[in-house]
Amino acid sequence: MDINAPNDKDQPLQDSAQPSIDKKSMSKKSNKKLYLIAGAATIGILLIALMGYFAYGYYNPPTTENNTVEQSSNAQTVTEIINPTVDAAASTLLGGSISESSITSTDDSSIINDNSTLVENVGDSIDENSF
Amino acid sequence: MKTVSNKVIIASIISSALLALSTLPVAAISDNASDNSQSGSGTGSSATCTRISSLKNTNESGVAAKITTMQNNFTSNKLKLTENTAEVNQKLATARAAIKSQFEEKIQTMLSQTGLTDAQAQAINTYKIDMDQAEIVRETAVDAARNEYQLALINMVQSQQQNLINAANSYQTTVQAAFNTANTNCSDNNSMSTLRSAVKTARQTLTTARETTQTMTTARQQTTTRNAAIKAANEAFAESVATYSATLTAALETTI
Repeated sequence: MDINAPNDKDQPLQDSAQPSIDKKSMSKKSNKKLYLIAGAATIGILLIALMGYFAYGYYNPPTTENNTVEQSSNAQTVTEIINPTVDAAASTLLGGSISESSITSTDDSSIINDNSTLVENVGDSIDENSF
Repeated sequence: MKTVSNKVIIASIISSALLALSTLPVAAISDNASDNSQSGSGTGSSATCTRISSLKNTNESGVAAKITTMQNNFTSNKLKLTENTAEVNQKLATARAAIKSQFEEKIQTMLSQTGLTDAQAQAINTYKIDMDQAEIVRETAVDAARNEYQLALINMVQSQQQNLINAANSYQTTVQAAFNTANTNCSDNNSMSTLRSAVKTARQTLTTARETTQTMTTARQQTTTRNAAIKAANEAFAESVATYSATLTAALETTI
């Protein structure tokens, strides 16, 4: 028996092992593609998200009111300080209008009375009872 | 012969002197009688005529002097009215400038506050613009009310003074006529009483003419109208101030 002769039993084994290797190779290739697709998709999504973020920032520029909690807290302090000044400013103008009223509320009736007294003096210049 | 002649001459002189002395009282009586016949009522009438003549001169010049004084003081009073207005205008301008300065100081105090946001600064600036505008509206209304009052008052005083001048002139004319009549009729027994009555009536007419009730009522109405207009302007201003102050306060709070 030739030991180098092909073993009938081994031959099928060899035939059946070859397809198994191809399947693995194919699977690896498939996974690689999937990974590539997934990676590209992820990057795409990230890019889109990034663009969206910048686009939002471009069309909605940040305002000073929406800055930080720290700034808001500071604004609250400013408001607390300013509000009394607002009241003082309003009081200044209101006080001015009231003081104006006292300046403008003149009484000129004394002139009318004075005119009357002057003509009365004319009439009193003659006392007929002394004749 | 010569001696007799001298005696006769002396006797004649003495007789003439005695005759002359004896006729003096008669002449005096005769003169008096003549005067009485002219005056119509004896010694009393003559005194009355003299008295009336004296009263006429004294009182007519007195009335003329009082009328001159009155007219001079009328001019002074009109001038005083204008001066009063100028004085009020000056006080008003000074007061307004002071208030404006104080208000702007308050605005600067607000704007110089550390940590002020742009929105808060903008709200303060808007507040100032609104308040300035409200102040202009108020001042315009106040000035219009004052000007209207001033014009009405000047017209009223001028009209009153003219009426009083007319009344005084009428009084003077009436009194002069009464004195002239009394002077002409001084020999009449009732000349003095007629004069008294005429002067009294003339004075009563003058008193009626100088009645100030209507003028005072009109003046008070003008004052009330002016004060009401100023009050309304101030109230409207106060509402604006409250609104703008609330708006500013709200604008400052929304930034929190």
